[in-house]
Amino acid sequence: MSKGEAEQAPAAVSRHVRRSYREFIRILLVQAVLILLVSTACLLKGTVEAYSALIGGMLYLLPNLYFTWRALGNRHANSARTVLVSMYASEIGKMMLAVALFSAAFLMVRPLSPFSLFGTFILLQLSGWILQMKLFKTSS
Amino acid sequence: MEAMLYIAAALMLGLGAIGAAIGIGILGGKFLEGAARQPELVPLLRTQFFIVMGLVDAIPMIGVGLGLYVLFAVAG
Repeated sequence: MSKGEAEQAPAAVSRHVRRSYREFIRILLVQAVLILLVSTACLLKGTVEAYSALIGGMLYLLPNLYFTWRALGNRHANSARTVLVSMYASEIGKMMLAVALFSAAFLMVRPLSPFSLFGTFILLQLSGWILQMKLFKTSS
Repeated sequence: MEAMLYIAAALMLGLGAIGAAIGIGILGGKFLEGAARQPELVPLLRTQFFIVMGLVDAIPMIGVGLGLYVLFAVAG
C-alpha cells in the first residue's frame, strides 16, 4: 500500500462510521416522534397512561442513545480489538443505565400504568428491529 | 407469596442475563473471526455488529424491565 492509500483508508473508514452513526441517530429521532404519538394517543385514556407511555419511551430511548453515541461515536477505533472493546463497554453501560432508569421509575413514580409503560417499551423495541433491519438490508 | 415474587424476579433477571451473555459472546467471536479473515471489512462489520447487538439484547431488556417491575412495584 502506498503512502497516499494508507492515508486515505482511515478517512474512508471514518466516513463510513460517521454515515452509519447519522443513520442510527435518525432512527432514534423517528422513535422519539413515535413516543410522542403514542403518549398523545394514551392521553385519550388518561393522564397516568400518557406519562407512563412517555416514561416507557424514555426508558428505551436514553440507554439506546448512550449506546449509539458510545459505540459509533468514536470514529478513530479502527482495529477489531478497539471496536470490540468499545462495543462491549457501551453494551454494559446501556444495561446499567437501563437498570438504573427502570429502578428509578418504579421507585419514584406513583401511580404508574404498567401496560402503557411496557406497551410503549415493547413497541419501540419492535420498531427498532424493523427500522434497523431495513437499514441492514439497504447497507449490505 | 412474597418469596415467590422475588424468585420470579430473580429468574427473569438471571435468565435474561444468561441469554444476552451467550448471544453477545457468540456475536463478538464471529466478529473477531470475520475481522481476522478480512481486516478491511471491519467498518462494515462494526455497523452490522451494532445492529445485531441491538436485536440480541432486546428481549433480555424487556425481561430486565419486567423483573424490576416485579421487584420494586409488585413485591416492594
